[in-house]
Amino acid sequence: MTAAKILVVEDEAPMRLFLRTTLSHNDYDVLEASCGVEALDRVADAALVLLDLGLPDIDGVEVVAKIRDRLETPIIVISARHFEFEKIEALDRGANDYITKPFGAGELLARIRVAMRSRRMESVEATSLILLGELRIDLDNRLVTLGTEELHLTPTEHKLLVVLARRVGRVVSHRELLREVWGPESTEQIEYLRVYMRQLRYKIEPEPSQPRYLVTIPGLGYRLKVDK
Amino acid sequence: MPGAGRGEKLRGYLWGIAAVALCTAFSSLVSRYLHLSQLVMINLLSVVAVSTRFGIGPSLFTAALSALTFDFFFIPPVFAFAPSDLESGVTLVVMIVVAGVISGLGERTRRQHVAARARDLQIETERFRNSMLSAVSHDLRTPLATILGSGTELLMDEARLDAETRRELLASIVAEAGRLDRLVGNLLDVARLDSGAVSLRKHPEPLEEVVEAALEQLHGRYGETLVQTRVPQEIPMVPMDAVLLQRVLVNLLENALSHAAGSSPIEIEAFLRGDEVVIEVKDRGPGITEEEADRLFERFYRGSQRPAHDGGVGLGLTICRTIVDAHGGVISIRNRQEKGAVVEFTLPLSEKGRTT
Repeated sequence: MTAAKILVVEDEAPMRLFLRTTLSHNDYDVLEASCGVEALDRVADAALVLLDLGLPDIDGVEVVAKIRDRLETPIIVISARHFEFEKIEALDRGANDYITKPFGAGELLARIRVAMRSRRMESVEATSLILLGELRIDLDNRLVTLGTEELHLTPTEHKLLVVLARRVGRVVSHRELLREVWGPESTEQIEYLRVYMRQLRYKIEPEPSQPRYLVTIPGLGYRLKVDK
Repeated sequence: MPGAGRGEKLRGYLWGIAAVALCTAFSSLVSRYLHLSQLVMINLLSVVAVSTRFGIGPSLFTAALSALTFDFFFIPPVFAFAPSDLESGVTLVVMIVVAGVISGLGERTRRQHVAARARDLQIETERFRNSMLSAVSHDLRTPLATILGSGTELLMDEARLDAETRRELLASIVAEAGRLDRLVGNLLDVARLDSGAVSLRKHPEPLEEVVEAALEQLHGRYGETLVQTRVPQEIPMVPMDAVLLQRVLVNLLENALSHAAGSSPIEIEAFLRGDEVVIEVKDRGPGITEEEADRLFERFYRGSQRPAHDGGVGLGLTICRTIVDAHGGVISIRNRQEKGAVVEFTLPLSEKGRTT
């Protein structure tokens, strides 16, 4: 198997050095870009993109949108604390996940593994059965079971879970969930989402503050965890 | 006070009426023993009382009212406004003038008082800023010194160092960088809270999500330590600024972690009490001493039971208190019956909180 190629888009050289070293020592091939234009030029060959949001030429969010126009390549956004808003935008425009500076090598590699794995799970188009630990989501028969117990979900809760399941491993933004479950005119009604998400989490998780499946991404959205 | 508004002014007028009534009543009791000019003094007390506490409006009002009532009740002919002789007339005029002057003086004193208080506050802020700067620069430099020192040593003597020493140096660089990151995070929060720039962005939030986010932020830092949480579904959404509340929980958890001996568990428990939510963070560390229960929340105060190599600056609990206060809640610390400490804080469920 050839090594997966990762495109690193980062304008700061020391940060690029860290990323390049970490990735190449963990059996990834590294492509580098120091600005948005270079990134768009090189993205076609990449299996995954690590994208810093603060680029000198094009707005990082624009880069995400331009890549998504053409490709399904997983994108992990790298952001600093003060790019909170851009982070939400980037996820909304199709980025798969984000990682906040500063971070360690271990965390970076874990995120990359998750993004690669969820890409594989997503790519099985015909999947109608999703298995995550004890959780079993049967899309064809609208059946959700936890261990041996069948969960009684309301239609809305079920829809929410299905939207998350179809993007398993990805951060699904509040707006995206609202759009898919309640329709395009409801994307600002975050209170609905909170209420139903809460009910769903208490049905699936024994203790939602330490979730096994349905993870909260504060201020951004939710993610259905890929099995370990 | 600027912005004290109508209520405060109205109170001034009411106080004026009450003070005049009181002085008049007292004067009428003693009028037969005292001379008219001495009774004036007693009645002027009402003007003094009002003018030092309220603005020029209420004090002039009180001055006029006390002159009128004095004229009406005490200056012959009693129960009429026009004075009967020259002496009474002069007494009345002098009283009006003195009352007016007192009002003016009272107003000036009051203003100076307010200005002095503002100045005190500014000096206090300045002093705090200075102590903060020196504490901060020291605490930022400590980890930086280790990072710079270990880094240069690795660079210069790489070939001569054995693998274990290299590992040690690298591990301390990583640990100190993490400490620096947390420190900067806390300082940014203090600066934000202090500048008053933080408007609370309060929304009804699911508490379990905030607890989850706090644990996630610390992930990997609690290694062996077991963290048990209990946030029951019966707790409704809580009006709060989730970002700031997450900071409270992270700080409390960090404290608990640094005190958790070995792998003793930490517990987070939330429950309802009346119309508020109570959140407790409990550890099995050495606990606190009685006399520091309140001091622990002061800026730069560091607990006597802290572990030897604790990198804190003594800001964590201060930040917690500031945030909880701003939500209209209360935070306190106590020892557990068996062993360890509990920090408890409350969040009101209804929007009565703080209105200012």
